[in-house]
Amino acid sequence: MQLHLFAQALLALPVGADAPAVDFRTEVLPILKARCIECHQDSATNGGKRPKGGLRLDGKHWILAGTRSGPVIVPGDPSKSILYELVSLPADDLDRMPPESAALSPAEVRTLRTWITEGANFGTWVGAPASGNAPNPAPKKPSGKLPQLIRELMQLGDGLKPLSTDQLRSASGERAKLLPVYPGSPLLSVAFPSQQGRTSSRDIASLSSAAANIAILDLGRTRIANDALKTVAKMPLLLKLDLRQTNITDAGIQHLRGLSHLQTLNLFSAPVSDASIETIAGLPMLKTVYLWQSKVSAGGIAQLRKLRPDLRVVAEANLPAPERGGQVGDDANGGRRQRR
Amino acid sequence: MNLKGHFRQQDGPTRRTFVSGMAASLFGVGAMPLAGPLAAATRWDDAIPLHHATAKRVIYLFLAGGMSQLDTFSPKPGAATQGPTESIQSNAEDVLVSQHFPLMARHMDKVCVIESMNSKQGAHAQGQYHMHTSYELRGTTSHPSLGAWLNYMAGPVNETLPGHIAINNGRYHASGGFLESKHMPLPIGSAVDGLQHSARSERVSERSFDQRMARLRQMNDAFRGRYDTKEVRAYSDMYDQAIALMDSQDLDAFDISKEPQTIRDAYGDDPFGQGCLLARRLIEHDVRFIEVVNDGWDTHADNFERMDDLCPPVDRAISALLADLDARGLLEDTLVVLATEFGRSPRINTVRTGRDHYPKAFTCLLAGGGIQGGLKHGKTDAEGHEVIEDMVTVEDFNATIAYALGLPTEHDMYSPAGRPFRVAHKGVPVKALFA
Repeated sequence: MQLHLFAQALLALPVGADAPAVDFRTEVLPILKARCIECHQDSATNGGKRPKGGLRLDGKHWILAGTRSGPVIVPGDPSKSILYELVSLPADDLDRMPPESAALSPAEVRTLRTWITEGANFGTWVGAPASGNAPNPAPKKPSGKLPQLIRELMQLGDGLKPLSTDQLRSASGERAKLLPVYPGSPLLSVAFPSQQGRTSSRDIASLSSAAANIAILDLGRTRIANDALKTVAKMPLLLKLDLRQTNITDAGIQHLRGLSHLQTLNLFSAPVSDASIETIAGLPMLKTVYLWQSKVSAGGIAQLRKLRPDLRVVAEANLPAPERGGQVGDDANGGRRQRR
Repeated sequence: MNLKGHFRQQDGPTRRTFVSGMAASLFGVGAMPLAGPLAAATRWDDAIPLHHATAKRVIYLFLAGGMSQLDTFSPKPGAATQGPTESIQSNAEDVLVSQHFPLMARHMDKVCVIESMNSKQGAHAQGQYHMHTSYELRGTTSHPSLGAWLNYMAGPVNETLPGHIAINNGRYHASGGFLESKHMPLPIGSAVDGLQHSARSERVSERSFDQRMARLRQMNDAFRGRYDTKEVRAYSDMYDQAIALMDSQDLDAFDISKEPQTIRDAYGDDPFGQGCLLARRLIEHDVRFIEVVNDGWDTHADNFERMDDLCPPVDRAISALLADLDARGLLEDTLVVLATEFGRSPRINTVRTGRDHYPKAFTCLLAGGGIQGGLKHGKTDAEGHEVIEDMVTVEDFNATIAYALGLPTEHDMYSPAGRPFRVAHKGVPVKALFA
């Protein structure tokens, strides 16, 4: 039904483009003047009051300029023209224009519609010059600086060939989720969300074919064994490796020696001991290592800090001491009370 | 039929009526079940232009009622407006905190304090709505909050748990707005109780349960095919989500009794502290957006005495949360937000020794997720009445969160009614806050 009426409306429009049915100066401008321009004009002509919604309708330049959010008319297409949409909303819609007085008459709305459909021709009318006051102060310009991690990833992936969909599919195996580190990057971020409990070394093996492109690898809480890190060792551009809450031990860590770009290594709650300190200290680009609840001793931590003063070694959680009664030195796994 | 309705019909479809039909058929696309492990990658090719993200997840702490900036994270020592609250130096050179945040003083090196927050909404409901959605509260449209936008635009990471969870009840709740109901937050009334009624009844065997569900699906499919509307999908999505949740390997995430007592004590034995702990557990299981509410900050009367009760649990919970996330390596890609609907008046209301609503200049915090720590952004005058440098509107604040998550802030999304909306309305991200 609606479509039918729409078709009728289209048919009713004049076909000859050289004889526009609506003349801006005599038909459209009077509507704007009577119903719109009071609020949407140069602040200089309106006692310093800024135009509402950052929109001026008192000149051709300003009507075409629209608002900060975009144009208000799309010549030829009233359905995309916000100006038309807002004046044709039902009376009870808070967004209807004009907001505080009666709606435009159906004839006026139709005039606007036809004028836009015919290409929003202003004829010879110019109105207020473009040199007047802009309706809004210039929008805030965001600084162009990208976050450091993103800059590093851009540099790292520069010139690298992205994998094809087929290559990605075969690399992801049954459980891995492979995503570009950001849209358009050839580098990949790999994780096993909601599959950690079922993920074993076998699931890591399939990543070999994508190894050259993997920059971020989250193996946290998976059931992988040390041999999985042989596959990880084949990822030359690896920047972040998460092995938290896995069963990885020193035998696994030694495979990581060649990771020359690795910046973050998460070994929270992994049974890695002092025997891994040398390997960790030898990772040239490493910035942060997480060792809380690992098996590295206080002496091992001190040794690592001495070997690599530039490295952020997170060996404990700076948790607030219990409020009352509790003992600060409690074993993290001990002293469990009944559930309240 | 009145004249207006009549003319509207004759006038052919407006953009509103036209797009609403389109939206009804397209809007569910982004939320279709992702098939296979690669499917998530295809999200990048979708119509939504996601960009690089520095944060994967958000813990959004909301102090409802209006947090007094002078008595918490923006003290003005020596100012006439400061009242009896004293300040202490934090471990970040430029940052003072009030005497009520001795624990947070040890963690401000991880936090960015935005002292130049500005809102135009001075009433609770309006302010809370604006803070959550970036839009004004209106009768005609229900806007999605940030968590709903995130899950709609970027999709869930863990597909067996809800992507959007709200812990503790506030007066205003985060909402899915005009997005499909699956983007509404799952409410958790009490962190200690966790998720209730999530297990299959013992009286129904697994086989029998599966049979029942298969029968249900059989009966519904024809109906679903014939009436594929938002409302019908909402109903069947609810079943699908509930079953995915029952079968999830990650259901344990909701059970904070699995935490060592020392950890539970560190967060504090109160709803907010335990809520923050639950939020941390959910983050570990890849839930993308968790809000934890702490109510009671509407200190019109006895502002200074009430700080003694209001601040310590919050000081403890946030300190524990930041320390715990950091030690687990999770703070790097988890954005922690501390927000409130507005601040409180620098002028002390002498009749009741309180502070009243003050949206003009207030304070919110951001930490982790790529945000530079130890930073103070923006400035107010010596007594805290006006923002004098780097104003951050509520919309800019939300745009900054969206930017961290890789969501496009300049991309129009159409509501089912065909109106264009943006994730943070007209907000511009404050990129200077990123490391």
